[in-house]
Amino acid sequence: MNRSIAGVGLGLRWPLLEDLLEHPSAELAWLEIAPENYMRRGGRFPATLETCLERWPVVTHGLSLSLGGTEAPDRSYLHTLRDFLQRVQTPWHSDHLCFSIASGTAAHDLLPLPFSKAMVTQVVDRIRSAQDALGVPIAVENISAYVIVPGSEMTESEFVTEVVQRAECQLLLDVNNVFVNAQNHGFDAKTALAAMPLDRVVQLHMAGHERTPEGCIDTHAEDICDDVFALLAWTLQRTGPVPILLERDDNFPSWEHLGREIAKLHACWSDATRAASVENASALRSSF
Amino acid sequence: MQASYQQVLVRVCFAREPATVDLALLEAEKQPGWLLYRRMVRARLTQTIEHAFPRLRACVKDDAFAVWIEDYFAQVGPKSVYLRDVPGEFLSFFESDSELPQAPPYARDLARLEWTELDVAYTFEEAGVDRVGEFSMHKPPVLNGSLRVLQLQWAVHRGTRESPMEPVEPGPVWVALYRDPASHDVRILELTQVTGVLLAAMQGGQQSLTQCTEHAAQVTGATIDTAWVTALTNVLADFFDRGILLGSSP
Repeated sequence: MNRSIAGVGLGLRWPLLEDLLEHPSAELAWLEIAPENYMRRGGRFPATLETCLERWPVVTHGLSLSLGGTEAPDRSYLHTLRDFLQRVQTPWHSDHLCFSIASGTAAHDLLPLPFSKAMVTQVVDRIRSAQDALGVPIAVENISAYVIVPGSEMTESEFVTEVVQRAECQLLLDVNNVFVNAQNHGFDAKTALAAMPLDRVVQLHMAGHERTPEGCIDTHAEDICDDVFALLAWTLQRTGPVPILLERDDNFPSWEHLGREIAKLHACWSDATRAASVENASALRSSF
Repeated sequence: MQASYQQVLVRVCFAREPATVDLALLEAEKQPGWLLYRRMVRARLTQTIEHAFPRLRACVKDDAFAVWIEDYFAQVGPKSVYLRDVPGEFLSFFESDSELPQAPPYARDLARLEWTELDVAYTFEEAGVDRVGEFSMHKPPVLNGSLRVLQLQWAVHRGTRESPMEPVEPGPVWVALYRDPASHDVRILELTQVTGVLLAAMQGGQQSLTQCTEHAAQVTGATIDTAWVTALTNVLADFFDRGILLGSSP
């Protein structure tokens, strides 16, 4: 089986499993899994993962590296993660630009970092260490944030750019998170996307959000809205046809409904693929 | 500076009430989003704990279960990076509380049973092929790594999530939980006292099966006679069939 990651993927979630295995969408080319859901776990979960690995290439997306955390990562976790990544043959491993553990307490959520020079240095060190420990390229993901952390000295795009360039890592660009942050903090999403290190994007995340009186919340429990689809198309024109992942974590619709969303994402990816082919052909002609 | 900020935010998330000084440090008056983090963190963890203990939650009075979770957050908080470990950590905290006035007398047993069901379903402890030799009474037995043996004071295992048995009958009672190797379903067996003591001894992994059976007979005051040996043979055959007993140490 070709294990390369291209086209549209789906975040593997337990409630989707039965439909995924019995009625796989033709446009679905790969899966993204959270290693923490399978590491140190026996029984039904690893057995199911084996079935999925036989049918789809897999890329891993973690929750617990706490790249902005001040506490040293759990060595046992890193060791187990390294073994797991090797076993599933992921081409890269991604985690979030956030912290999730402090004072020995695990929040099990993505807590925001200050966009400061000191934090850039800290995160860069952690990414390099993680890359060494895990033996695969690391991609970092921009998170949705509901506050601007005191002590921030730059925009999120500047922060992400500096981290990615100095750590020489890749970027998992979450388009919906940029949209959510733009809505909540009053900036232009396209300007923010344009300032991201788009040449480092190895994967895109797409998801739905919810509008509440408190603002836009990145719930992964709604359909992707038209504005975010428009941002995706705009981004793909600049990144080329990078793999796109659909995240759906709650309020699951019918499998047919989800299939239509996958098909829509696939159409965006196909457009970007065609555009890239035309560009390549033009470049080839002009070189004669 | 970073450590301080991160500690403050975690305190805001887990304290019974966020401290005014912590909220001031975060400038929460200008940015109410900080309290959104508190709600999101607590909601995810609460949902995880509630999902693990549906029967315990249903059998306690008023909002006692929510208060226990509040106490757990404020006094201990999650430590493991694995979300699925959180209910087990909550159970350790719950068991350390000597008084549970809002709970029925069988609450501790019920909590242990519900967590053990999840633990058995998830556990990764598997006996590798190299650890399993041919069966012998003279060597320590090798058991299914998911096996858990509980001695309960109340027969809480006789009810289910769908149909909790009321009233819960007093014990003591021995129960074995294991993961079916083929279906991965969790099975619960009610054991006689002698089988419970025997299986608990077999789990030790040090004594030969002969020593385990002698220990079980001694503890329960049984005489090892022909009937006893026949019963033992049937029990061991059943354990083999169920995938509980895998063989002996090589």
